[in-house]
Amino acid sequence: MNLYLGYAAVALSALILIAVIRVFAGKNIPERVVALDVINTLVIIAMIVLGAHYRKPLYIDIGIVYGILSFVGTLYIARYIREERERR
Amino acid sequence: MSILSDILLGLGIFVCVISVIGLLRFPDVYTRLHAGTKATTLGSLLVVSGIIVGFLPEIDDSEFMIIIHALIAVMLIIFTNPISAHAIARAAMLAGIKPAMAEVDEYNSPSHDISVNDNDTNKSDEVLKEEQ
Repeated sequence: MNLYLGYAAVALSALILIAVIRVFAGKNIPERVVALDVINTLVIIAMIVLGAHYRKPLYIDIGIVYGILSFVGTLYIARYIREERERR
Repeated sequence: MSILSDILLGLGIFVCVISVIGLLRFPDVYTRLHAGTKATTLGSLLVVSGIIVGFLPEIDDSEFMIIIHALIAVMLIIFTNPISAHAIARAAMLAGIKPAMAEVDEYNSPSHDISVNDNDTNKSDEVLKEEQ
């Protein structure tokens, strides 16, 4: 079977590096958080592709746990932005 | 079958590329959320369907495990991605960030004040009034 899974993983890594540029070039906090959310989703997709490339389901489990933790982190940062506005 | 899986995988990567280009090019928080969240959800769906179609003709035991775990991961992405996007958009709007190139300023009018319906801000305002 010839799946182009290795090339797909390399392309997803390049996309993650491009999105890191947007994290550093954002003007305010929500723009950076948007880029961080996109990076989290791309990391989960890259973990799925790597687990299918090496035939190991453990990589996909790592992606699932990363997704849950990043979801909690994103919600907490959103709450932080709202409380910063109230303190002003 | 192999050609179909390659096409689905390439389409998923292409949608992810479009998502990151939109993240770089759009001028605003809300448009970037529009580009970044929905397109990556569709890209993950296409990539996982390509992997499943590629594994389908002869299924090994480890490949079956990989298919089940990938489906669980895609379910997680589908459930959590709109929730986090909604939380970011609502926090940005409550923080007072306006959309770029918006000419009509209807976000400061009292009929569109979103913080009226917010329970936390109401509670904190009441606490502040009692302290005063």
